[in-house]
Amino acid sequence: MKFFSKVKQWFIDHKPTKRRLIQIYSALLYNANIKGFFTGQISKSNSKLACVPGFNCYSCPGAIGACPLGSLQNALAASGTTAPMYVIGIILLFGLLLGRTICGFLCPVGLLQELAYKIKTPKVKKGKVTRVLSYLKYVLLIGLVICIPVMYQAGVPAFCKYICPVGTLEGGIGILANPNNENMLSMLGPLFTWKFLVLVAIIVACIFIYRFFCRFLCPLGAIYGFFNKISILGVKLDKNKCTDCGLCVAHCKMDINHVGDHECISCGDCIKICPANAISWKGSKLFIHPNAIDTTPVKEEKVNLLAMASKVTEETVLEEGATAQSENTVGADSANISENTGIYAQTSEISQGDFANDKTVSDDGEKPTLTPEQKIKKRNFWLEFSAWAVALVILAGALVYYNFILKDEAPVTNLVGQECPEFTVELLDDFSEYSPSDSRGKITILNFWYTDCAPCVAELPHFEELYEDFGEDIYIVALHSYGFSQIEQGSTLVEDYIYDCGWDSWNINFAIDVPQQTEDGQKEIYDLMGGSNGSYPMTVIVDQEGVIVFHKIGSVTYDELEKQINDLLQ
Amino acid sequence: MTDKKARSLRLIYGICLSVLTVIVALLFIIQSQTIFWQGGGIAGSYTRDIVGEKLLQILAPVLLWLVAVVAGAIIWKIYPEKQSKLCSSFSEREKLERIKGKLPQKLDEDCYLKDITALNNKELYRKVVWGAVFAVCLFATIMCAIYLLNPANYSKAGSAEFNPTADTIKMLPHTLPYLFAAFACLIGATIYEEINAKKQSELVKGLIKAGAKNGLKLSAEKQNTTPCKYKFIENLISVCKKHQKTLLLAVRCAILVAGITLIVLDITLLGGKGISDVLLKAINICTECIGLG
Repeated sequence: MKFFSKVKQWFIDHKPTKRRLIQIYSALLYNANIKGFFTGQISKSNSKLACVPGFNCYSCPGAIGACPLGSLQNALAASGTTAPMYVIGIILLFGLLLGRTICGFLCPVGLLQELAYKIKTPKVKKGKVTRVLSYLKYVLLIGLVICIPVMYQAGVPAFCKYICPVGTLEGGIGILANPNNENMLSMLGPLFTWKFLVLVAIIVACIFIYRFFCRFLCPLGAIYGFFNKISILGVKLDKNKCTDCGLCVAHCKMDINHVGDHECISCGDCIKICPANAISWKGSKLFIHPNAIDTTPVKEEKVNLLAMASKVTEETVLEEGATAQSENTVGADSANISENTGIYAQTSEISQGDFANDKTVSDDGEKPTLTPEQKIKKRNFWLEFSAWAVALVILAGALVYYNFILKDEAPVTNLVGQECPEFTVELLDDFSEYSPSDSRGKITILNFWYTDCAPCVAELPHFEELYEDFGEDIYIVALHSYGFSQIEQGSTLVEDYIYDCGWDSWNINFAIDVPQQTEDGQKEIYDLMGGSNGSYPMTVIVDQEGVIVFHKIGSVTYDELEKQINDLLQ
Repeated sequence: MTDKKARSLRLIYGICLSVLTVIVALLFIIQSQTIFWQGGGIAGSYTRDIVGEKLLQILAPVLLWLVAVVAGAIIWKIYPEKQSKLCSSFSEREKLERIKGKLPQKLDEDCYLKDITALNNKELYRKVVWGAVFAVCLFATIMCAIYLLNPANYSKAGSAEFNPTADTIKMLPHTLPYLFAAFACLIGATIYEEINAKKQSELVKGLIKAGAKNGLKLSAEKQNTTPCKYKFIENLISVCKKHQKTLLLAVRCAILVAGITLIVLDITLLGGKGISDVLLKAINICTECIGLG
């Protein structure tokens, strides 16, 4: 029995804080498509049109929502043709509602950083230098997130491409670790090598420095920081009660100047530190946190309340108060009581159990009534319980839906050695119809691309060069992604793009991928040709007999193509 | 085990784990660099076999590191770290501001003149330093902006020369030195600020002591803010403070309306193109984002 009570006590002492539970919950909810890690496929559900508030790469196999930073960069890259209204609107709403509370509660990257920080190494404390370095994230925001995508007006999400460790970890390693995506390993090159180095460096830094990525590199945190003072949720400081003791700033591990400034992630750790009860949650009037009503020194008020509630002696009350406080402290740290300076301990959230049996009993033995504080606590308990119940139902629903109900189509495996599937498309230059059988006798090269894909656009000139060297021996069709072209409206956009780039004079034949009728229903040519995960570009080479001899997802070089063609011509 | 021994154990463990962490990280980096350069420094260097082989080579140190991390958790459980007493850590500047307010009211006698002059000089040096730093930062911003906002520095999408990676590498020598200089100046100025404030504090404390000896009355009020030169700005600030809550509500409403309006405009004016672009980008792997190029 002693053993079980010790185990029980250990769990009570080590139970995660509410903030940790919310962080874990949001990480699970953002990545509810758990089967994606086993299949190696990213989710293609419509829920990805919604941005999640925190940092979560949309190329993560588990992701069910879009990354706000990646979406912002892509929207800015397309700002020449489409105003980035949706993404900016979403970010405004997230910022207004939550500010940097997102960083403290709803960001999986924040969770990972805090877990890494728990590793018991010597730590680098914050200081004036770290405060200055925290402005680096604004430089990255302006340079990589805003400037470069806008100036290129092409799909160059510079921060995602060169810095973001989340994409490398969740997306890159998450996808490549799956044996089904073995062919993608061939796409790894200098960019991955650089990003892997950045990832390892950031992880190591997070072990030594609290929230290294958050504090110094995260542009999303920089954006949300602008909203901190006006956000609806977060921590706030009551300047009338504040005695300017500085304990909150000293205790906080972020580079804040004062509670609630643009560096504050609203984790709430300072609330229990403040001896004057000056810090509280915004919107706490809804819940009337005990802090808001417990304004007198512990010894005096708590003794009175508890004595009223339970009719015990003063000595036992003080003992109970001390025990309850140590057992129910939310978070790891607690301030020492310094009686000389008159600073008294802050009560953290007191569990309902402390007052469950404490009811005032009237003298004539009537039904026990609750004090106002107890009523509020009871109400808060039920509110919290309901909120958790709803949240868990949503999470369970998401897990069931994405893993058992939603069916992602299994990709066609590599078709090398098989006959090229038949399809028909309309060429954009003369509106004639094309099928692979039309170019039998020549080496046919099918390249799948789309306008916002920078690697796709970068490699197309190589294909045109092939025409100059091999002339009549080859036939090239560049098929623009169906999804990205949105037929009717889209083909005009693609034609405009081709015209603007000066490609209309090229020998390459351009067409738009259209769904083909097959035995299994309608399928895009990209899928028929073994495309998976929507990875672009993709190149397929068909020999003179109509057999697929080369299939690659990812960029191709001129030398690669030349070698393949020379092999076929010999 | 005594507290001192436990503290030493934790310190030694911490240092060893730090070194091991850095070594393991370096091993990962070295292995990835080896794979890349042995493959000729081009795409296609990574294969399942090579990656597996290189990971196996560093498996032992990684496992050792994991065991060390677990050991650390056990050591901290058995010999827990005592909570250090929480105390405020005001910067020297903040401390100076607090005691400056207590300077004696009448300090125009000759015996105080030297210290007052020294105090004013230090404050002047501080302003000069920050002025110089501001100029450096402004210069850095302008130089970076000149480069970043010049379309000629970006290869045109769709052209044969389109190569964002090469452009970005070319960008580095034109921006990084300025950024480095700006941050270095800021850090230097921050450190100087503390040194300067400490020296000023000593002077102020000396003046306060001397004033007290000579029976001078200390100033009762904290002089935290300097009066604004322009009346209308002062009036504006006081009005803002008076109607803080209303202003906050107005700003929140404005942002809420702006956010919702933008989303509605996207749906109505653009036919939801912004939303569909987000969806299309999200359901296809962003090969650049995940390092696949």
